Amino acid sequence: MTRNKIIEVLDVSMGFERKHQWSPIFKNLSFDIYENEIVCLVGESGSGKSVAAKSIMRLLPTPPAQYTSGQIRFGNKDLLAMNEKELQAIRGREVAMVFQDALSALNPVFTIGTQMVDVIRLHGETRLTKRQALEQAKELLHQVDIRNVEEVIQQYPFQLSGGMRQRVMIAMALSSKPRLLLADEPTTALDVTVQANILKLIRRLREQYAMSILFITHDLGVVYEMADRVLVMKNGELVEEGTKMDIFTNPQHAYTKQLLNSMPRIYFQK
Amino acid sequence: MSRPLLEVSNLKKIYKTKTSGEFAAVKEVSFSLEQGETLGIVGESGSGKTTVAKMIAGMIPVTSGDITLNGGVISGRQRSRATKRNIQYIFQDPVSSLNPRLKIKDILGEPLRLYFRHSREEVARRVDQLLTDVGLPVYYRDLYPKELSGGQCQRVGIARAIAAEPTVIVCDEPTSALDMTVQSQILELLKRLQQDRNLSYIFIAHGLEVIYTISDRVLVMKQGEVVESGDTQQIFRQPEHPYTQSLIQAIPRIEIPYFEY
Repeated sequence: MTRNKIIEVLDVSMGFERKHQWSPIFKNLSFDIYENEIVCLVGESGSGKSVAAKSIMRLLPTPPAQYTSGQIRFGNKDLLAMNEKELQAIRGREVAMVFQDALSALNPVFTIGTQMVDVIRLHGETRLTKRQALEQAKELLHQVDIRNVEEVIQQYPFQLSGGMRQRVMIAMALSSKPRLLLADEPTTALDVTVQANILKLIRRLREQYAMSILFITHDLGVVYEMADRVLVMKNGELVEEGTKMDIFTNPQHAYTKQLLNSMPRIYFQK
Repeated sequence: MSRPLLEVSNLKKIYKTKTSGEFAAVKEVSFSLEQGETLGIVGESGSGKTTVAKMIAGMIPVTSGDITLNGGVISGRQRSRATKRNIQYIFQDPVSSLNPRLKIKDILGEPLRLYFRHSREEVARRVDQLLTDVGLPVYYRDLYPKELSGGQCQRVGIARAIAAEPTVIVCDEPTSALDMTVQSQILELLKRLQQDRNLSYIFIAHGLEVIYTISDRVLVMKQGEVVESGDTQQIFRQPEHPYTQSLIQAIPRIEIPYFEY
């Protein structure tokens, strides 16, 4: 049974130009994301993983970012060749993103309710009234396991804990039922118990929404819990790719082995 | 058996707020630290672990309770210079803890000049030795923090702490801001330095996997109190408090036999 590809990154090269200096970020990067899978993009800081993910959403302003080769195909269109209007139809709708620091991603001067209503009305397929959008917002907050929905709707981001804010971000990302969710280290800034719950939530939602997730992380324990497939990046290069079990039982590249060796021994105990 | 190096009894930190009354960040914490051991303190954000760490390091005043080092009470208003030298601190964010306007050699020179009466040549020699001890090339002495990676900055932070030749180092989540490959290297470095210099560590962490790697004993904190304490092995084998159990459950489980890749 062949699965469909949602995203095809084909030979993409990209860098930043600042003050007449060119800094290459990645070169000839190629990978695919299929329907209904979780792909973990793993690498250390500076490997280019965040930038690669943001490229899929064309979130990097060009200039100073420049794509010097390749295509990023979404369906039968090339995201790198689209204009802003075409991109807006996809960003937040078919492809949604969740960031590492929910506090800076959420607008601090609006309540959760207001922000969610804005997002739902903006990306919704049909024109919803504020009341309808609010009902949908409450339903989404339930889905991300928030208990005191009525209270949270009225609150500002600073009044919520890190875990709650992250759940709100996930709820907002899901509002348009995206086909692809980009999650850029969404649990790195959270306490471990909270992290475990958020990961469980994301796995459950993936089943429920039948969406694909590109999950960026530097934590291999998270990779083990979440991934169907793994992409390993180092210095802007994709050095290895494979299924989770391939990577964990039969790593090929020296860097992948190094990453695996750096995991705390306790992960393997009991 | 000799007396513990550091003893903390009934430590409290209460903040008075203008609108919400009193907030007890640390309710009543007691523990001791033996010479040469690593005591881990683990808890979530808001559990009070960093507040305890800062009180021990003398960075914030104690509301009530005692801290004694080598039998002498140090929790009073003023600390002696010797005490300040003896208890050093490693910060969580390696980059922001280094003065961006100073070269590495001056960052490391500060504690050397503050606590010792070395000649200029001796300071320079010691700076080079410190860099070597933490695994950095000697030419880094002339670089600025922004030229170093996060892991390298943390090595400088560690070098700065050991420069004062302390007996106790409070490590405040020193690896939380670092990537996994770098984390294990930093922990190995801390372990080696502990052996070489007979250091005692109070190691703050927000997860148990780091604790398992480096701590002899653990305190589990929740909402300003110690809810469980004991030998690291014991805590892992038989966690009693539900919160400890949830921390252990939060550790990823990899169902493959471990081997060196």
